[in-house]
Amino acid sequence: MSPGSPILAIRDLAIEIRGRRLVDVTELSVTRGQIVGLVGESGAGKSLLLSSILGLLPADATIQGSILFDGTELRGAPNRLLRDVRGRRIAVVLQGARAALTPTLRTGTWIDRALVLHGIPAAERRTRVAHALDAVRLDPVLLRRYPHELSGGEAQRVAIALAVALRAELILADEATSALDVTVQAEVAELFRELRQREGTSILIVSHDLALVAGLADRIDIIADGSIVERGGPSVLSAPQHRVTRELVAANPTLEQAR
Amino acid sequence: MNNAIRLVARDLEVRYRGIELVARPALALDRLELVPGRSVALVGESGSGKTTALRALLGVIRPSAGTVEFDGVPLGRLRGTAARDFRRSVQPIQQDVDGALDPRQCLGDAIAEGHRAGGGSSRDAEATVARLLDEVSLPVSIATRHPHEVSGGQRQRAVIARALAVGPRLLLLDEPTSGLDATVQVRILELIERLRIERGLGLLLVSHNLGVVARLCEETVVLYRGEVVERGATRALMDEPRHPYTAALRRSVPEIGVPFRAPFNPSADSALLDGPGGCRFAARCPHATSPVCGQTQLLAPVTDDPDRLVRCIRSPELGILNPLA
Repeated sequence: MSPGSPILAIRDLAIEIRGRRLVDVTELSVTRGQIVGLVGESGAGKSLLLSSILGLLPADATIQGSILFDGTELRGAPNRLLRDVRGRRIAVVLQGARAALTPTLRTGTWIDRALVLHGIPAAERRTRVAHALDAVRLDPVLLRRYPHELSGGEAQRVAIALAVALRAELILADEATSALDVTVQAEVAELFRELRQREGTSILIVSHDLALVAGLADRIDIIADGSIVERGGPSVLSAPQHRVTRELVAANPTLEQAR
Repeated sequence: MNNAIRLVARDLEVRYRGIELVARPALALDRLELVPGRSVALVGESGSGKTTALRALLGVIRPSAGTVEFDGVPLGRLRGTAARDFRRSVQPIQQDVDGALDPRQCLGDAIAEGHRAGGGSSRDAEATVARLLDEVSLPVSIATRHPHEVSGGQRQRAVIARALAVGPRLLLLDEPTSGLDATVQVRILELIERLRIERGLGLLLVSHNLGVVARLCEETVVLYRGEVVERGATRALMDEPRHPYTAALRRSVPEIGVPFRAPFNPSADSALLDGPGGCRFAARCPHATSPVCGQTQLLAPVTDDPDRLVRCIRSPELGILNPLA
């Protein structure tokens, strides 16, 4: 568990569906405590790549290559192993977190059931939840609410709180802030940064919003047509080489264009 | 068709029944004027009253107080040709593009329907559809496609073409680019900008993103929880915000090359939250102090910028806020 060692290491990953190669990634890794941004347009293969990490590819997909999580091969791993990793050690925060919550359960019950499912003893559950709520700055009163009684930003925080309570080592954030207002988006983004700092959580942020990712990530990978076409620190964006990166940079509505 | 039209809201108040804080309206807007050739932005987060304002201007919700007038006539009193003129001149572009189109109707038919609604004849419908598709940069062959067969950006262009088919003078756009990829978003904004110039349209653009409105609108009205907190020329408002919420909004827009900054005060004094007439932003404001921010806040002009109005009792002492600090 030393910092600097890779928590996630993907090598020569190829995913095909019905004869079409949709993902072809030679190398992608996240080291412990790192925030990596994976940026691309719709259809670039971002979500398929995430699904493959979780072992949740569609049944007609074929996959080659290697996905190491903390040194353990996840590709073709038995379900028993995947179930332990998925959700607990690797947490997922999706665009519509509200849909991930169960509509008939209060959020507190929902978090508690997930902790039970992953075998956390009762005595520990309460302290973990209290710590998690504090970490994501949520008022404990929200534990008594149902998902439809939460705002979009609150639902997103609840989903992140569960990741904290489970002490996830890696968070996969798939467009986790794109449905939120810019102000709320900025608050959730700040939260990711705090989690990395305070809990040492590694985060893979997948988004089409280059500017948001650029302000948060230690490294940015640009994906187009299933492959990484450009990679670098946030400074790569000041001199983008690849056509897709240039387009993404140009598309960012900068405030300099104001009338 | 009347070319010199004018849509004006005065002392508008909208209250929703059954909502908490009944003491305060969901929207209070002292003045908003829309004319062809000018664009105004309404900016704020969810619950700020942006969409409510747009709906009141369309006449689909009735204000609890104040008026919306089309060429001097309150919307509720428009009859006959004046009512028809209003519906043709003022066209909405809704946020939910997918819900705006009938899934069983092909795009060409949807646009032709707009053409007939605007008083066009069925004979030249086909030619008009082709011309409008070209105007929004869609291939004519797309006319026979259904909404699910085209991309999100193409659907948004088709919705804009249908609105144009009616022959509007004012477009009321509610988050027209949300849910689209960044590169698609910028092309839709370019399209709206071009249409505005070529057709001399007036725009009301509703968005939570200051970056989106920056390039399209001369005037910006910032709403926070139903109240106007600041209004003025867009450029001045972005570069030299006076209200702490405007500064926070500006900071929240992610920009390449600018490291991420937290937009709000994480440890605000919650005792300042929701005093009867106090500042609604106080609980998140880094400049809030008791007891002044608990007092009634008025929308007041700024001495050295006559076009600017700010609702912040501390504004005279705070002055121009650094938008990037």
